[in-house]
Amino acid sequence: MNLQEWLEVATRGLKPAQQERIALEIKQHLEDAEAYLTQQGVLAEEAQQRSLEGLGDPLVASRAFLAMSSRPFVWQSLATLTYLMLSFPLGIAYFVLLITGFAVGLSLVWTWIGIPILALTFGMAAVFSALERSLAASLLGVYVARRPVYTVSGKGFWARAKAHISDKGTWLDVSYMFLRLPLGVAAFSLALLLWVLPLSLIAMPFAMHFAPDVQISFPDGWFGRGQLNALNGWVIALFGALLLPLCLHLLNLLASQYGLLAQYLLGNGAKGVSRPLQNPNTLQVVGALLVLILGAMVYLARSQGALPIP
Amino acid sequence: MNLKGSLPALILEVLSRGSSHGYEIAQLIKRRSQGVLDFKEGTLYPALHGLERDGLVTSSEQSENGRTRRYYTLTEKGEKALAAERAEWQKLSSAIGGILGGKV
Repeated sequence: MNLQEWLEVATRGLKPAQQERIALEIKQHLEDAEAYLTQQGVLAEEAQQRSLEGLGDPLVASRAFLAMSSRPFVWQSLATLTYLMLSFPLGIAYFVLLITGFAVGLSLVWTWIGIPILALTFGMAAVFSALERSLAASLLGVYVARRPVYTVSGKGFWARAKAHISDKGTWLDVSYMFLRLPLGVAAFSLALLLWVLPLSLIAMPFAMHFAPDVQISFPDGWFGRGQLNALNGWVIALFGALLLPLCLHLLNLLASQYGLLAQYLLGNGAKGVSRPLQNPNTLQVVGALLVLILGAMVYLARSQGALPIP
Repeated sequence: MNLKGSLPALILEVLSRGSSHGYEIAQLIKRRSQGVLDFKEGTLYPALHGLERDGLVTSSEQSENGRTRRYYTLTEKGEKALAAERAEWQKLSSAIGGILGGKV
């Protein structure tokens, strides 16, 4: 591994200005380290190698840089929610526009009209991928290097089209747009569940107070038969309040995996680094899963009549 | 020895004796711990940048003998944070010393 490769891994996903500053500082650091070692009689080549090794694993540095530049939990959670909620409508838009463009363009390619349709479709894919890059950067804090729309500039249409079509990055971008639909639906449903569930639980006592006529039904056995009473409402709200931060952690964890995919497919196949969207707290995530599993078990046990109804 | 988590405090301590640049800070920590506290130098910069983001240090580029380096300086807020870290450490080390040191 050389310095360039080390820097590429260590600073991936950071803002360009930040990348530049780190590159400069690490270069200065290595110059000092090499100068010291050569002073000690170490050969230049070995000094260079040993200085670089002294920096350690670039992945470790990368995680530290990404964690250092993360947002406060609440703001990041809101940004994450926005990103995940947007993935459904955007996923549908990309899918419909691109599939139509490719289908019509390819089927008409034998007439001249198919060519401009295909060119337009590729153009749309480039615009969409630029939009996705800026969404990933602004909402997930994952900076993916911009790919030039035309890899060959200053040449004729056919040369540019050929270069664009034979570019691996073009197809990775397009496959990302198509993946956005199934993944977007999954992300949207999960995001909706994970923030609507705790919020509706928290709202329970208020709903019972302000809209007493509305029937709120839980399965028989959850809170005894019949109507919920005020105390039960507050117990439910407390449960919701405990569940909310745990759900947001799960959402952030999910979104960091989307960030990873965006880095890989929009970054021309570059291996991404999983960005911790907030200081990762394994305990809270495991806690969230336990609460959900416990809730499901109690529900099942009660619906089967295994647990007595209070 | 792994110094996970304590690197920022060690950096503040080094900077309390005057401005310094990354390489020098790393060497000073290693030298003053007689090589016991060894760490990969690549992790020093995230820690430094984090301290700067939190306003505990400031940095500026300076030229010395024709070479430009980024120097880090402790701020007032950093001094207070260092004093708090020192107090915390003394409390912890005397507590652990009380148990592991064999005192009755």
